[in-house]
Amino acid sequence: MDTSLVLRAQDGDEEAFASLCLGVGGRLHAVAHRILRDLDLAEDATQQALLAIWQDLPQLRDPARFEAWSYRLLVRACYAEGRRTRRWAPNLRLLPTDEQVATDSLSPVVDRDQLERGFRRLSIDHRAVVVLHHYLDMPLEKVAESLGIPIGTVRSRLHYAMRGLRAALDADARPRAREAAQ
Amino acid sequence: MSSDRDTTRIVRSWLDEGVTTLPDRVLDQVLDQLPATPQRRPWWQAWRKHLMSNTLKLAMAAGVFLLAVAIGFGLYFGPRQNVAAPPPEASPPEASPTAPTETGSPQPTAGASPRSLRGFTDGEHLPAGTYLTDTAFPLRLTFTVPDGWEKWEPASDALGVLTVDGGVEPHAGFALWIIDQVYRDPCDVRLGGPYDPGPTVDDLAEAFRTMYRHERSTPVEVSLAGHHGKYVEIALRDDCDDGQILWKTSLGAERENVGTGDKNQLWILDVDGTRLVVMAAHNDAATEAQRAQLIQMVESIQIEAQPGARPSPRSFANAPPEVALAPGTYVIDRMFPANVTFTVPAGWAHWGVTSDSAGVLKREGDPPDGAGFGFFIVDNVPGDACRKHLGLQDPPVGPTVDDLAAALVKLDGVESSTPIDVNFAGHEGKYLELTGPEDLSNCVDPSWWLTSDRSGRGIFGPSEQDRVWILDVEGTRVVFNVMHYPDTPASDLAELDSIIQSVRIEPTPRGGFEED
Repeated sequence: MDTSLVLRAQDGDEEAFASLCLGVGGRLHAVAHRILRDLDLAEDATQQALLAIWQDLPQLRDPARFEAWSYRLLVRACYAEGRRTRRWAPNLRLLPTDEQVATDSLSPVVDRDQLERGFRRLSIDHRAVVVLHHYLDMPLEKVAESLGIPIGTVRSRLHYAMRGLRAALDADARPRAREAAQ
Repeated sequence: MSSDRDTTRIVRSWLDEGVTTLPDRVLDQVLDQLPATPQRRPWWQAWRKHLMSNTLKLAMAAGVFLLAVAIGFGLYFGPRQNVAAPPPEASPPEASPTAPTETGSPQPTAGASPRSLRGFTDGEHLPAGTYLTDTAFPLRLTFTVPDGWEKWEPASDALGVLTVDGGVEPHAGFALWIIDQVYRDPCDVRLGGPYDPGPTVDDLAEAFRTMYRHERSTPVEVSLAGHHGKYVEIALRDDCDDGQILWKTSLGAERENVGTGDKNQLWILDVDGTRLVVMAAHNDAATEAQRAQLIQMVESIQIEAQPGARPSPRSFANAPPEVALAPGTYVIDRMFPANVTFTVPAGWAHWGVTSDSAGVLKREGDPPDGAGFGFFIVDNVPGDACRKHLGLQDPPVGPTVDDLAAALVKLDGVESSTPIDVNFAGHEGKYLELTGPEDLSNCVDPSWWLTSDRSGRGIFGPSEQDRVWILDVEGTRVVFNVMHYPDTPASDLAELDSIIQSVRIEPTPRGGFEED
């Protein structure tokens, strides 16, 4: 990340901020989509996160930490978006979405469905740890820094989340194993 | 059974699916909102160091050195006055409005008219003198500033002066705040707040007293400039990871800590119904003279009568979602494309604000006795309120007030009244009432309408009763919606009526919120 852009944006330079958005927007959106599992919610969360980044940028003391810090604001936005849409403004998916359906390495559709269900049962906090670590390949220390939580909390959340996802996969595997035995 | 390695591999593969680019329209929406979205500037304005040339830094450093020599000389040989702040455990004396006389700085001429603070820009050096808060600050008062301080105004509800020494991180600050929210744990702003402490002087004093992990004194009664309140001291920890934030105003000004030895003396005053916080803060690098000047500025405060003063509305967008709002007046001043003000009593909770909706609920709006109200920018209406999955109305709802009123009347599966002309909050429009299905068991995502972000207004429960004002707010079609159930208590209905009476709706420039 170009820290000179961060410094200029901290001083209110909108063009510099636009360049920053171009640089990190895609990654933020990708992370939001994977946490929220919904394109519309992810767009809203990314938009809110980018505006929060703009607002709070002057308070970032170390420009080199911009990217890690931006993920923290994104996760906050995801958390807020997830809660907001729970009841008052239900997400009404009337139109077909542009979600991509992969056909590659994750071959069994049931795995995908089971993972989806298992993942949705996790809290946003747990999902965030899984996505930052397993999607962005962030080391756990960096995840802790990004989310502003202790490393021990990251480890326990990751352990809990992966145990849940593994249980979701196994729940699907058991009936298939029984069927195979019959 | 899957092994841990299998699970990790499958999860990673699954996470690789999905979008990786941000749609241009989202980025455009963000950039469009920047001009109307002020940045939150930290208390110590660390950003300023990036703007300052080395030459200027050297010049200022030299000036500070000379000033320090002069001050040191004056302190050593000159008469000393007792300007210490009141000890927190003792009852602080009535502060004197007498002008300060220490530190060798030029003093204002007795009886001279106060100077206008409005005439100085943020960060501009203030000549020694007495100044009037004739800015947009909600209270009119004067205070006397010695030489060596610059104006600080991050928002219209926070105003003060900072030392100019070094120009990088001021070592002391005197400021007037209208505090809206407090961080429970300034060391951990994510988990520790912010929250609304409540509207009174005692509420805020208690919030400071219970702040986590920092040294703070027991609040004591105090009187300053003829107004009563509480006095409290807070000394910040020096070992937090990030910049700590103690509190924020409704317009986004925040009090962030500064390095080592950040200490705060706070006078929380009730000024004709407005809660004013006078802050004298410094860190270990502040000189004795600067610390003395802080107290002199506090003592110099004179508060003018505030005819017709009333508290500024709080920012709705800043209130934490799904948490009960403190009773008071709120303004939806961000994201939503109209500037909406309303007043709520106790028990109503924030339920989010977006570019298309803002909601407040009681008992989460749940049947059988919940209630709520909200503001919407409606994009379309389902053909059938109970079966929205069958599609939207075709042709789509047009852009006018009448178009939407007609579409809601056509909505299948619900009862609707005949729309009538109405003028609400100064805006022409239509009013109608809707009653939802008695039995929702066979409905799929029952909904009144959709917003452009493809979310919308779901029907919360059986026999939900809705009042709907569709208003033309200078070209923007704003829907004000109030909902309840047959079993909603009469006291809540009365509160809703009071809320309806309090609603004010104004257009905002550029579809965003007004700049400060």
